[in-house]
Amino acid sequence: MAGLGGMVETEEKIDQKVDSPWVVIVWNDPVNLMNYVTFVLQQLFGYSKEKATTLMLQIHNEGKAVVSSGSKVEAERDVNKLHAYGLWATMQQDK
Amino acid sequence: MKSPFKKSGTEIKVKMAHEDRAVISDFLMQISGVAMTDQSLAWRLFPPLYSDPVAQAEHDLSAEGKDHRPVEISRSFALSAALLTDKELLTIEEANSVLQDLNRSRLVMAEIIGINDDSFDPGQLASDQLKFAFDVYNYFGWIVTELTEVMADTNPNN
Repeated sequence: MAGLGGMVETEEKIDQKVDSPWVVIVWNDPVNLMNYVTFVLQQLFGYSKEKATTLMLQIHNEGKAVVSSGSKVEAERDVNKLHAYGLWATMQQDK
Repeated sequence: MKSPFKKSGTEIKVKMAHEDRAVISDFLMQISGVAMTDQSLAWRLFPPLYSDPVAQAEHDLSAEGKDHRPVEISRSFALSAALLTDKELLTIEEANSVLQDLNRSRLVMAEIIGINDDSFDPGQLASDQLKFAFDVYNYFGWIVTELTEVMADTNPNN
């Protein structure tokens, strides 16, 4: 049975979980073209060509990249927009 | 090959012959039909929302998880096919919709052809039908690339 210290620690973890932002991840796939992915990231997030290209290359070379973060609602909105463009995007709470 | 698209003021001019446009529109409608009747070929069109499978399962069970995307995508394919057939000048919004649907069609074609990763070897395609599908897939890829380049020119962040 956990003592009081354990309860405090658990509450802290819950608070952390509620507060921590959500991140949107785009995953590599063999279909979407590189210039298309760069264009989509610029179009949706207003990124410069350099930043969008860097993220696209990270997706291509490392398999995934975090492309945005924010509240759960914001992340869900971003994921849905990326899905509309055919990109494989998911959201998860940042750790 | 000359680009089939050109920026024209605030619009995008379609510079393809009517026959080519009709063929592309027809393919779009065929692929839309395949995607809506065989979900196993269309899975790339419907990614999960959450990275965590448990969270995704909870989402799917909830009311907000009700998936209207197949109907919306089918409508979008039909609209893009009509735009490509009929219009000489596309607004940015129309061009964006066409771009999304051309790309979606490649996602379905990739599954039909069997493109699972970056190491795909077209030499392994067994039938003439699949080889033809791969040619169409590449042709659509070229169109997506060209339209993307023209659309990127309209982006103020470039």
